[in-house]
Amino acid sequence: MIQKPTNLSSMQSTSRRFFRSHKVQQLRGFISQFFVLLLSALIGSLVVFALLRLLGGDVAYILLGNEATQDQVNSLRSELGLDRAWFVQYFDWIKGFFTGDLGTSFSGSYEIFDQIGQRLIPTLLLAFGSLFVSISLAIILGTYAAMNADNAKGVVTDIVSQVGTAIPAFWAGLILVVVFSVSFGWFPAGGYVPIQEDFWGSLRSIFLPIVALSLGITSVTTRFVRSAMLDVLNEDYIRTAMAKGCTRKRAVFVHGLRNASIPVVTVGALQLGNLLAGTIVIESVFVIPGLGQLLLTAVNGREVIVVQSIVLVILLIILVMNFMLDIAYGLLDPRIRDKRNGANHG
Amino acid sequence: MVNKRINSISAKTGSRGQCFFLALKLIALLFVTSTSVQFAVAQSSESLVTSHPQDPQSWDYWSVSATAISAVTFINVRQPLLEVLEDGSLAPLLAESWDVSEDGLSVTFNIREASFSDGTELDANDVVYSLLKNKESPLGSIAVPLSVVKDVTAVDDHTVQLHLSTPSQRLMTELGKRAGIIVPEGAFENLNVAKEVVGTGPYIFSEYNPGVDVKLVRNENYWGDAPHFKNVTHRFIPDETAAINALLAGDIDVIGAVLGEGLERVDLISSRDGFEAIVPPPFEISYVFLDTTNKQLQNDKVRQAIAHGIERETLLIVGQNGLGETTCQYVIPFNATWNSEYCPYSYDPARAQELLRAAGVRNLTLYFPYLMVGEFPALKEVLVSQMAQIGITLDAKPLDLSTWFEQVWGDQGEYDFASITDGDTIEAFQSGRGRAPFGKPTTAVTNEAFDNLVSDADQIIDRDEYLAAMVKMTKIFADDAWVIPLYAKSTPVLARKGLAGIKPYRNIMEFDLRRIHSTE
Repeated sequence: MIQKPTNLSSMQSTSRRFFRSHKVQQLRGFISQFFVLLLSALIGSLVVFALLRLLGGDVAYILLGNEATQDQVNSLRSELGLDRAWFVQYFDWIKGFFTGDLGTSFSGSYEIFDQIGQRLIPTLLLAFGSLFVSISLAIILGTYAAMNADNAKGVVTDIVSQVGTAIPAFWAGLILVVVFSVSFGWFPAGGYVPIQEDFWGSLRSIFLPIVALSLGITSVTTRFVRSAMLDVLNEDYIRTAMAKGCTRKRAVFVHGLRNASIPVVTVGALQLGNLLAGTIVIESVFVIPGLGQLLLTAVNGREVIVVQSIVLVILLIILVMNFMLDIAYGLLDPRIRDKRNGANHG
Repeated sequence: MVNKRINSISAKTGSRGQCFFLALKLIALLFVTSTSVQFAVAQSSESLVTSHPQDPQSWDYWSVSATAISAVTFINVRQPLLEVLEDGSLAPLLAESWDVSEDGLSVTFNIREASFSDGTELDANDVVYSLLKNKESPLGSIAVPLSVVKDVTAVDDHTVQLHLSTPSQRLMTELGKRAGIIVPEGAFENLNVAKEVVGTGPYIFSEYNPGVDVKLVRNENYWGDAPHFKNVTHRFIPDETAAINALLAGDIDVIGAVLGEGLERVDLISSRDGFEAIVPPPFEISYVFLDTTNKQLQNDKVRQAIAHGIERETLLIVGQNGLGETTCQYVIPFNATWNSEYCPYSYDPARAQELLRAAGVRNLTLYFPYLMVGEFPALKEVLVSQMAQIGITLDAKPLDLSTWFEQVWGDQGEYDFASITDGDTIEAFQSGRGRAPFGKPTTAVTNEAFDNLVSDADQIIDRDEYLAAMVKMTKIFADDAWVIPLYAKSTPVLARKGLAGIKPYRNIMEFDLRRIHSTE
């Protein structure tokens, strides 16, 4: 409890205690991390903007085709605002991005912000669906492999997970389509059904893409889980739990898993970048109208506003995930949270 | 077998486990057997689902050259005045009949009774508006044929007269293509033509989902015979393997154009029960073109040597899986009566080397930027090898479409040796028309005889004289060897059996839906 100040030095001491208090320290930490996130996003946006300008090619040639004269190209570029100074184009774009008004595509056929919003959902479904499936499977398989490290079952699980890392997602996707769509007819060969249109149809449409995308990530994460669990299995608290009457399985899952989760959460969050990149290929194989497909089309068509905006959206997703990861660490392991707070208290 | 396994596991785990696995089985059953709105569309008697590799991103035929616009909307939604038949002759479409004056300087069209999909009636004013607007198009393929049109007048509600500065053989044919598309008066001012497609066709442009699909709905007020299918969905599937898998899985009925890696599988798929391939006659030509500013290439012997070094059969197999015909002449339409087997520079590497020696050229290196899409990477491998055989090094560099357009097709002309596929007629190569190698401001060489023939032939009224002039023009162009045709390519259609009426030829990249019907 903060005592009422009676003199200046008391007041100073009280205010110092206030600013060093636990909640305020947490808030300061949160705010500073948020500013780091914003700064990273802005730097990322500058890099994307500059790279696209350096890429070469011109949307005017794409639209006007092979008989365009230089005058026609220049006229169209001027109409599209592509002859303005780079910093003007950049600020215009950034302002539009954060106000939700990016205008229409250069081809004039769609509103950019609306399109990105619509396509974000299938991409996030794919990416986070795959992440969830991968981590869930990895925990089960990795723990199983660790608990059976000394016998054939564990070795087999280990080998299977290694093979999984060698299979590219697009190849897995093609094989899945050939087997389960073309041969058996159990799933559609491609396309996406929005959840609000048909729930089961939607699940069917993303099932195979999620399987294809999850394969590699599951394999990598399984190996991390196995390694973390092997460390945990040798800890004293596991032996203590078993001595108190827990079965080995219960001791591992109830007590050991949480301790092994820190590296798993880290790997999972890091894999999100790979997953989002992987959706570009998977969306092509399965013809899913997500951000990845739009990005490919926009790059080929030199729709620079669209490309910049999509890349910034993906960047923001990854940055926010990393931000939430930092928070998750404190929840999963109170020792990390206490250490942080101790450091903040000085 | 799956059920046995599940049952054995549930037996071991007890009643709670049994409930869990029963629930799992029910979910799996629901999952696999459930139908959905999207995937029930194919193989329906009322609906047709096709795929196209490209989403044009804009439906503005006037300023955007993407051939995918024609694939979906040409003839089906927007229609031209005339229809070009397989043998090149013309049939009525929006023009019921026409009359060309004896001096060839005026054409009178009688416009049929029809209505646009926005409910307005088609009349002469719409035709006047559309033709004058098309004449101003930035696209040469639309504007150039109309450049001979001095004015267009509405004689009455259903009669339009064109007054020409010179007679033109080409004009009438082009009025059967994009130059002849008729839209409502004021369309370009009142509509966003990039998104709103209004026409007189048998289908109405109902819904466009960028990058996903376009939905067409049968126009119940169509002036002609109603098409069979009530609903048509064109899905955009850029990856050809994905499109073929969708066809085999029954998700789509037709792949409207097989252009890339799918060509290798056309024979395989058409030999499977339940599928067929329709291979229309060629309507595009793949060719090599050379930079006129390169001093060494300005030597006729060097160009002739390059032409002698090209073995076309291999290129046709590698680039098109053999679907098409080799050709030494640039003739579009390929079945035109002035086409022939004439080949001034047949494959002869020894002769090529002899010519290079006579020209005093050794260790020639040519910069070869090539497109990294479609058949071009495969063609590049063969061309590099063939040129190496005669002592020419091709310094090949892959470029994406946009960069290639800018560097090669654009006024910069940064290439020595390049290849492309095109469906435009030979007249497009006339100097000043904008087409490489002769059409750019930076062009160093022109072929006066060819240019004069292009201007003169179009004005010939007598048909036999015109054909003779076209034969001569084509031969001069081939002899010059600045443009070296490789092959005329056919773009096959893959479809499930049970569909009939797929048009067996194309003029541009159109996919004509009017006569397609189910036989089941």
